Amino acid sequence: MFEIIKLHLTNKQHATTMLLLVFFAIILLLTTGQLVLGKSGTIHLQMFYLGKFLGFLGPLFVLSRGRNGEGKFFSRLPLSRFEVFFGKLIYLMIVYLIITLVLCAGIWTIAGVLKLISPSLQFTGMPTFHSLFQDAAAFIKTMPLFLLLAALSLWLQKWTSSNMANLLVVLGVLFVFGLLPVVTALSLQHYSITIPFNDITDFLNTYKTPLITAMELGLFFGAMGLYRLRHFRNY
Amino acid sequence: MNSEILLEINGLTHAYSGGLFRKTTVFEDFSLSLEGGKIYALLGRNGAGKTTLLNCVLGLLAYKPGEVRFRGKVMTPGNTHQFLQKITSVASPAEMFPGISADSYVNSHRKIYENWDTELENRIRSMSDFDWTKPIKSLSTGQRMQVLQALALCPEPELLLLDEPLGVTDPVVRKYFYKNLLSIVAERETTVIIATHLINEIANLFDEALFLKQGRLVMRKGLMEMQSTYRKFVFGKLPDVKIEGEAGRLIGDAAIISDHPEKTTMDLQARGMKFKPETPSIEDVFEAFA
Repeated sequence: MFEIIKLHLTNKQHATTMLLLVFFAIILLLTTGQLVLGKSGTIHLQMFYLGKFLGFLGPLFVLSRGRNGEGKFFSRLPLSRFEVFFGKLIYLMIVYLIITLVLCAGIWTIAGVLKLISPSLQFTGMPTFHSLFQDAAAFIKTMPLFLLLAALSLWLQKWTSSNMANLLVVLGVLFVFGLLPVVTALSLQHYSITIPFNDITDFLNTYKTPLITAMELGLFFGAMGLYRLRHFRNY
Repeated sequence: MNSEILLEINGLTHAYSGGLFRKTTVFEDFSLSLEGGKIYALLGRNGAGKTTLLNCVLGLLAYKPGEVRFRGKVMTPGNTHQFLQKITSVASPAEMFPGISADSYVNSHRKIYENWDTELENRIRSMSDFDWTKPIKSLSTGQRMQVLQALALCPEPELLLLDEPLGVTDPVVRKYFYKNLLSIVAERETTVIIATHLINEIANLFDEALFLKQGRLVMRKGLMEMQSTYRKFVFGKLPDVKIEGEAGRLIGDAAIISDHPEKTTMDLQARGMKFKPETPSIEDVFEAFA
């Protein structure tokens, strides 16, 4: 398992560095723009809170087994699928920590330098320990369900036919697009469009969370089917 | 030579999807048993099922129904990893992580496998002409193949699966690869299955050839047995009728392969046809069966 984490970290170090550089470039661009154009003396430093994104995308990554059939490469090794699974999971957590902490450090450094140059500047959007903790909590809270699904799919992968994967994609897409109007209707209510049927409105209000969850699940299974088809075409 | 059964495949059925509700069956009730310490050539045209068979053994593909046994123990796709200390394969260069160096690959594999032949590793390194500290993406396909070969050979496998291992490598690499292969097989009684189209290159290497055709094992013979069983009859022009004992035709050579040479000779003499009998090469037999 440790070897998998190491292999992934080594292999993805370039991509991780590039991602960090992109985030930094955006932060610097936005900050420079505010410094040049702003008159209020307040700079909004945009921190990227990635907890929810990685919480959702991470399990998909664990599931996807990467490009170039790296999953196949791991499958040739005397490692159980769960060793590979947990190896990737721990790698994901390390990557989340690295990206978040480096971005934080970067923002704090930018703010520090600007404060030295111009002590009157005020900053908003700065990452605090509280916001970081909340982001980490969001990461941890988002992951379990999708991890469970990823683990389930890993277990199922060997037994899932390509036909089933095709079906998953179709069902996932239908599910998402079937629910989209409902979710749109729900969100539009807050902008003074009234749905005349109170019963329907009540029903949607009551079941809003399950509907959105179902939509996410649909999306997830659709993606799972797509990955299954992409990486295990002849399974 | 170890004549104990090493690998048994019983009633294997595998199909892949050809659309939403369409399935293409590759194997149906396929059975095969292989002895330890032998080199098997897995031959057949594209789509015959060579890669699928090897992937089923490796647990990369699911099969239902069917059973694969290694040294008598049942392997399922879920527990295959337990057997992979003793079964290795040469992966495709495309499966490698581009950012990792050959050294990192070897080091991580050395830790994962219980047995690792450092001497062989050094031998393969000394024969190579590239820097093993460079990332995989900077190596040529042939050089990547050398790394993959080291990863497959150094764990001292009991069963080595090679799927077109030398398709893209240069003649020097090929020569050393076979030299290594032979030395390992001789030293450790490793069983090897080589799926390849380069039939003549392995003609002097294998103990038995397994011919696959549309998911069926149509022939299983050693080279000597093959050459004593079959006979090649060369003509000026291929006969228009089917000759007795004819197993297949070699259109380019204007020849037929016969599995009953005496009957064929008598039939041809009776028809008054001129022919020249020859000992067939393995490629001739392959072409006739393909």
